[in-house]
Amino acid sequence: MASVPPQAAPSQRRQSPPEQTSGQPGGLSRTPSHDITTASVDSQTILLNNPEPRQSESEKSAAEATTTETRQDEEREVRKCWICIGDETEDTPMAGAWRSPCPCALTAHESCLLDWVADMEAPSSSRNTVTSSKVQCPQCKSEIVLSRPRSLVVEGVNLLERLAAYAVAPGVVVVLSYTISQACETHGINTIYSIFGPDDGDRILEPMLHRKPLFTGFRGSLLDHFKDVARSFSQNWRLDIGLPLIPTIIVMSRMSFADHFLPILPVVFFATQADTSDAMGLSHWPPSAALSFAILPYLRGMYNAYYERVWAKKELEWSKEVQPRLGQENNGNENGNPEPPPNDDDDDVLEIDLGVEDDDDGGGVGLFGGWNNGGAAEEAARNQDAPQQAPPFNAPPQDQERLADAVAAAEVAVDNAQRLQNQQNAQPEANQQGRNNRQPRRREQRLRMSLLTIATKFLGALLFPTVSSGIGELLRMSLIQSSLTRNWVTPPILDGKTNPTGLLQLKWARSLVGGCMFVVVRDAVMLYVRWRQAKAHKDRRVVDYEELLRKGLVKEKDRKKKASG
Amino acid sequence: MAGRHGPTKRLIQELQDYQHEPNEALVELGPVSDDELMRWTAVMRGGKDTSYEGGLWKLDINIPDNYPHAPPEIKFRTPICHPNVNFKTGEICLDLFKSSWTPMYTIATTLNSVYMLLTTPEPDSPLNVDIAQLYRQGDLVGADALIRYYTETYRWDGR
Repeated sequence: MASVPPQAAPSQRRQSPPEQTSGQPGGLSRTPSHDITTASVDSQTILLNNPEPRQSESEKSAAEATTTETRQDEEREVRKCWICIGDETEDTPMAGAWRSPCPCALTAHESCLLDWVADMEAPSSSRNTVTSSKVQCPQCKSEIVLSRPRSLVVEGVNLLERLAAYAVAPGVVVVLSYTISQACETHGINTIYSIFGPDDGDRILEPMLHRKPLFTGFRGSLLDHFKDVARSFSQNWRLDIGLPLIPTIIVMSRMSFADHFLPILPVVFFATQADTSDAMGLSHWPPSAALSFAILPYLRGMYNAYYERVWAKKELEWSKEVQPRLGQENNGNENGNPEPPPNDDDDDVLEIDLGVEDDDDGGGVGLFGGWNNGGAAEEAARNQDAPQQAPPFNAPPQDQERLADAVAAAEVAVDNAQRLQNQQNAQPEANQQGRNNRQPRRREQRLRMSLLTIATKFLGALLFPTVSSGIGELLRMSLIQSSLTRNWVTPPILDGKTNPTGLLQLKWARSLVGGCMFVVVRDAVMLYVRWRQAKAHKDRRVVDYEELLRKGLVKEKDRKKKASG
Repeated sequence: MAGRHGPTKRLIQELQDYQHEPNEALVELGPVSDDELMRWTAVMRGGKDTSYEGGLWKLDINIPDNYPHAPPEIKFRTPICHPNVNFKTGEICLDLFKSSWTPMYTIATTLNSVYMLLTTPEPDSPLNVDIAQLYRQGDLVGADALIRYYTETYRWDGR
């Protein structure tokens, strides 16, 4: 924003005491103004008048004022209200007292000043957000002091309101993050139950289930309460931290940047494990649940690497085959038209899918960074497009950081160019209009596609534990049918205690295996579909109408109707 | 009470002051008609020895009901090529119209500030990116030529 150029102060100057009164013709306004000063005390709000003591002095000196003063001087001495710019000569008896609340020359009617102060203090006023507490003289910036009856209640409420305004943003953040963490925790609990089944789930979550809610049931002092909370946290911090992390990790494991930190987590887990005696459970079969789940990230990494090496390229080939042929016409488009070929919807999804699966160098920002770059590239392409139509003064800027500015510049330039063209040769602008309209719609579509993809990933990830446990259950039900495999899923009972000897005899292990199977089968099916599509793509042909008739797919009636119509 | 009956009295006073003491930046200033004291119009001239020399621009001035506690709304109706003025709408980017307004300013002094803004542009907060870009790249010759072109082309001709 441009600031005000240095400006000459308004022509009011502080009158020296002898002159102050001499300028009033007949002292007409002075006397009533004094009356009203005393009257205005009743209104309980008066402006402190700094030079008040001097005024009595000035009245004395007014008597001494000589008559040699020129008419001109007298005119300059007339006090002029800087708010309503009326001067003393126009004052009606109703006009009110004069006040000069600061050391500089500005003087004003008390009523004008009070109006102004009220306006400055009004909460809706945009400018007083910073200096809400003080009212300053606009010229000398000294504070203008109001005396008004103080009320503890009013000031207290004002203070509270101000504090509340400050607390809104942090409050929203706290509430939102608490809500999210609670939702995550609930999902974590559901996951535990669905993977481990009710019995093991209860065992795992036991400390959690018997805990009191955080802010109820004070026993003893507040300190005791905090001690309780701290103790329960130190005992159950694994659950407290781990449960909300379950959905977080599951969702993140869908993205490629999880490759960078997921393998570290099991190490952290074992390093912090309290009892080291049987932590690994390496000697047992079946292995402990902790070990099995800790291996998952490595398993995932290995599987991804295998998929990457063996299948990713083929999948890409297959999906490319389904794309329309890149003919001569499309290639010719490259220099003039920055847009991708028209039917790139599938392409978009594929791009993002690959972005998620690929281990790209972007790391954590790979997913989002990719889009941003894509968007920026598109903008840049448009930007390059603009100077051809724009007036010569639109030079593209050098620095990257101003890209946004440049885009705005380009848009304005295009607009200007359009307007100029219209004025100069009144060309129909349909072509350009169409061009400009198409761009945002395309981008919107792209955005919608990617949002849809994100939502799909998100939901899929969150549902994954439930699906896994469902498949585990299916596994059990199918295996238990046959007498040959029944023993695989029912643990033998020794001394009235179940003593599992195989992996599938455990509920959590079945869920685990089910989840792995789901991933593998899903990928296999997807690959098959792609391959099948690619194959079918080569063999497809357009069916002749005669053939349709012969096969009875259309009726002769339709044909006649079409021919006549 | 002095400030209570709206801006009318102050506006009449300002008009009288302007008529006594014409402003060198302005060719004319006053309400659009006798009935409408809250809508003024002005014609500004370009400063001598500046790129804007010889230009004439019509400005629309809308005075809010709580004037002088709120600034008047001033817009260029004649297109002007300036970094801080929107070419299409005539909107002026000046802190005087936002945060730093005080009742000390009058319509005439406010227009004077706009007049001074013509020679002291702020290309870092542009409303007209094209000309601001020229300033930022230091192409003063180009900026001067462009401004003179627009000043000549769009000069207000009294209609």
